[in-house]
Amino acid sequence: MDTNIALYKYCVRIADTSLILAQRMCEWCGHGPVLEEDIAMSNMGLDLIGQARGFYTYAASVEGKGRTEDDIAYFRNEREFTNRCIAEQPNTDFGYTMMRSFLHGCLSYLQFRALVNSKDETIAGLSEKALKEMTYHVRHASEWIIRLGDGTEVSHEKIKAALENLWEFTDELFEMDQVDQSLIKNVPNGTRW
Amino acid sequence: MGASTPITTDAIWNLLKQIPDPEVPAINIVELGVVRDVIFSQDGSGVEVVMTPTYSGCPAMKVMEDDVKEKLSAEGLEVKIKIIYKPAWTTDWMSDETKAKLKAYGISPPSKLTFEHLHPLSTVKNAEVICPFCDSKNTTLTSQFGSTACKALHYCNHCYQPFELFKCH
Repeated sequence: MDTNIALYKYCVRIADTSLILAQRMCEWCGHGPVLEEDIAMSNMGLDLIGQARGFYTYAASVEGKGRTEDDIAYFRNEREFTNRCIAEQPNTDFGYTMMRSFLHGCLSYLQFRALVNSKDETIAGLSEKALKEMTYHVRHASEWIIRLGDGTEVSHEKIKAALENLWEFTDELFEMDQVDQSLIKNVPNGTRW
Repeated sequence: MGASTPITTDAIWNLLKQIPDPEVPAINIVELGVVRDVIFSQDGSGVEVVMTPTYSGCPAMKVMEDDVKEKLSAEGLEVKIKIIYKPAWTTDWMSDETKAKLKAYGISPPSKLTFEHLHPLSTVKNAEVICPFCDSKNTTLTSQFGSTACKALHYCNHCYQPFELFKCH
């Protein structure tokens, strides 16, 4: 695969996941279980939108066809989105939302932690920023998972059911395809990824 | 300032220091640490201001960019803003003086970044958060997310005041 095409797809993939999850998180706005959590979820949604913007903007410049972040984000059909499936799962309940944040957040944290060392300076920079944000998201979600697991019988059952359901979507997080393989071999300037 | 007396880099920095953070107006954008560099064009008619966002999705960023453009355009300069992400913004760039201003404004300033802040599965429970009103260390975290991306909500068990903490980042 052409390295530039792979790089474009890789960036759009990260941005798509962030954008879709951000929309899900912000669906809670005005519906959170308590005010603080309502605010927290929109705050995290905002971080994710910010991350998506950075990666869409870079993807657009890599593509070099004069498109903008908005063209990529809002002028594609739903089947053209390449987000991780876990990001688009409906909110269901608060526990489910926290479990989804936790699982996505952990992968995202590890991915950005690795990408901070990317030879591609833009990716490294965007990742350095995103890494700090994901640290907060994972911490927030993990504390709720403990609390709900140790809480009442109902909260315990719900968070357990959430894990059982969402676990099925974690396989995808470890898949490597042509895009990844191609970038591991090359980056545009010829150095190793 | 007339065209005959070219504006200096120091003067630009001083102008930028007049721009308040739109969300925390007690400090200016230079103190906040988002302005990283000021670079003149070769002929001196234009200036590039290098900025870095606090958080990826901080909605105040656009306001700050517009404020910078407005402020420097008024000096007859052509203004270009360049956004960089690396090195990532950190609260460690704030001076003690800036932190004192935050405290006086009623916001508990960020402490120095530690390993705990940077690790997702460590709790920062033991970190000391001091009430900006009564200086008590007997405070509780209400929520890691507050009215803006950069702040967390806390409660003082000593003077019974809720307050905001500028998060270590």
